[in-house]
Amino acid sequence: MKHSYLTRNIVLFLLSLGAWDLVQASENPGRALKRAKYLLNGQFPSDSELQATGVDDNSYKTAVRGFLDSQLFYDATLRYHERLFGTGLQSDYLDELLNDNLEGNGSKLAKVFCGREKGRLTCDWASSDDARRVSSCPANWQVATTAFWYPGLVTWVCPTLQRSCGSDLSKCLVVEQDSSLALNAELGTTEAFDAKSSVVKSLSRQSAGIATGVVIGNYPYTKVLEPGLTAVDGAIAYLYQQSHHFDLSKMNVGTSLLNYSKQVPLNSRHFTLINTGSSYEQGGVISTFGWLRRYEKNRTRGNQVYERLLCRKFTSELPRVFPQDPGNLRTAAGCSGCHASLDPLADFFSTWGEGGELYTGQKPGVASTFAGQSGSSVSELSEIIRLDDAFASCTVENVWEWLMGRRFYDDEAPLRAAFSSYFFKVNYSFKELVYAVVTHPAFREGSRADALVSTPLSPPPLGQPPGTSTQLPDCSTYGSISFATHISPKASACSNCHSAGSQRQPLVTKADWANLKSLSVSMMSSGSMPPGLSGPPFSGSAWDFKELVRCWDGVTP
Amino acid sequence: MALLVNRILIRGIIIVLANGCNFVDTFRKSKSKAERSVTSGAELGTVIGEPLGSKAYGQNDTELAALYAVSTSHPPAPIRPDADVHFRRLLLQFRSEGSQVARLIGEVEAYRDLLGGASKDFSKKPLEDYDATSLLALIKASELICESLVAPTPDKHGNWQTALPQDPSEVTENITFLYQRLTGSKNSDLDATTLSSLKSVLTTWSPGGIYDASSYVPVCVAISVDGEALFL
Repeated sequence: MKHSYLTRNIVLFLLSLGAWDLVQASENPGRALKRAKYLLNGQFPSDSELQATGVDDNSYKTAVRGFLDSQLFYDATLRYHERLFGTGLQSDYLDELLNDNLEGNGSKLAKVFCGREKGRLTCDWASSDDARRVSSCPANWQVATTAFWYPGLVTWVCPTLQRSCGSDLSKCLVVEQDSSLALNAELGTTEAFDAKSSVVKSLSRQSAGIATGVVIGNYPYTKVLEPGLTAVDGAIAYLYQQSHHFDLSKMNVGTSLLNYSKQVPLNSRHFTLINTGSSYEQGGVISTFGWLRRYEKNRTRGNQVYERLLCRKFTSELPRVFPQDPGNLRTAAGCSGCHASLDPLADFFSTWGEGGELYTGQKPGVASTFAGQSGSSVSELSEIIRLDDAFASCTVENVWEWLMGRRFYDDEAPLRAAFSSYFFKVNYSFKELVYAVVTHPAFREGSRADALVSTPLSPPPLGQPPGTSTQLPDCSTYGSISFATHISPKASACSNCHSAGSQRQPLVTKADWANLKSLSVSMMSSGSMPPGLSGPPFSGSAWDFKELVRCWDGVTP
Repeated sequence: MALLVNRILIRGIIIVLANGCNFVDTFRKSKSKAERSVTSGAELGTVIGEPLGSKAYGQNDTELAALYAVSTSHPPAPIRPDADVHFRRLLLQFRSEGSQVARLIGEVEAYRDLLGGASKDFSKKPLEDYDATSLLALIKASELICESLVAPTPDKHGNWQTALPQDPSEVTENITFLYQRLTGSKNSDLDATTLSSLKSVLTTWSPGGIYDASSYVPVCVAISVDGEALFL
């Protein structure tokens, strides 16, 4: 009876509220601050914060800067990237990594159960038959030892267990009987810890961890695709110490990564970036275990890159009658619309096995092309994507949608271009991009409209060099450009290293430059070349030369 | 007397030590809020191993001014708080991260699918808006959270105390506080009509005008499904 009273009164309350006022056609600092703080810090502002922010423009901007500098921004960024990459894993994927000599036999795993009895935390061997804890000694023989997953936690164990599992129990698989408690607790915040669920959760988030580390460290966002860059938190560092249980070579975890990961505290809930240096099969977020196992086919891996990092979808008009055997999908009618691009993109991942074959080790690459650029490895694909203006533009679109709740309208093309230009000019600082959106008058608008965009803005073309969205000068302003007069005299910064006979592609003759015009403009636009630039050039000799090459027709001698 | 005190003290220490880590645990809990605000290990954003190269740039005021000048006629869209993390975030505004929070989130987890949360592998994305099922699930999950916030009990919530700032008899102050914290609105945004409606929920739940902390649970739930709480 009481429950029905409760429900009825809540419903009456809701009805009494009336229509939600959507018409506030001007900036609303309070509403903007609420949205900003919730999205960036996961909290609502207090009344005093709201009062202070409504004072002037500077107070709002100062508040936003504070949100970005807060440690709470880490969690918001991690969650944003979790949703963006979508690399959630099933728990049984960890079982696939078990050492073959364990023969899938759970009784061979060094598992311990921890739990409190009469207020005393003890850890005992786990029975493989059931959920019992099996103590190997009387209670008065137990010794105190630390538990790596919780600062200051002391647990009582039998001496044999301590010898086997180490002084902090990190050599054993810890099993929490109340698995929901362990699953819903962040590492290092509670004494409940379950090795399997914690490790799988962290592996699921690893791509997000890389991106979050890049964002928080204020590195150029293009670094999320850096070959050799990965991220490790306490749970993954703990996994890497379990080489007696898991075959880490299946995850392509090399010696340098294992050594570096020892610097990560085992109770750290935050991801730490680790850079082991470039390797052909690596590509930052697109080569984590999470990405490769979640998207287990090469076509899926390529498609997810296309959608999530380039904001494009493979769509094609299907034939009326689908052929029984279409043959080569790259050329078959009705199939080639997608597969002519998708399959070459998928080929970049061919060095990795698919599905359960992921663990068979690296295979030779397959020569392929994407967006007009050639390559054969994941590292080369990541480079192609990083140097494509569409990646920056897509990042702008994703951030915009996260903060504004909708995509761009087609008549907002200048706005997207302006944000993309700003993103480029701050050397791809994700934090500054977020700041720009949250402080823009569009975000601070008080009214709200439908999230469904009736006329969405199309993605920009692929294959454009970085900074294209900066509305570069029209080439006609430079007049007629010839190789001999304008480019060759200034090319020594390039040809000193890119000469005939060197290991690098030559950039000496007109033919050399015509052949590598597009790539060289991309490299110079991004600040990758010549060596010594601290970021994309916007003025000076590097900018001037890049513009000459960009506007040269590739023919005039 | 001094000998008696010493004996009691020594006996107390022995009892504590015999219970293992309780003393340490209690000590740790007392500074846990401070600890949890500091990241263990490397500072966030640092890189171990080979250098990652130059950092990105900072704010560029000139370029920002040009950016602000590019306008649009389309307002933002309302955003539904992330169904998978909203209740955790709400709870952490009032409570410290720990086993009690985890236990409560575990209870809410039973409703996550109905709330419109994502599937484990993100093959199903979080719902961007509400349907009847998610709204009803929201009411139920809000009951669990609101009970823990305003009327916690030792058997369910350990040593948590009520989040109400005033004595339960101070109706206007308590409702204003709850409305502000759960919707992120200014105190002055709580208009008389809404306040009156919320008071009627209170009086219906606790007729006779005698209120305790539990009287505010339905009020808290009602605020949780207010438009200002449902959308950003």
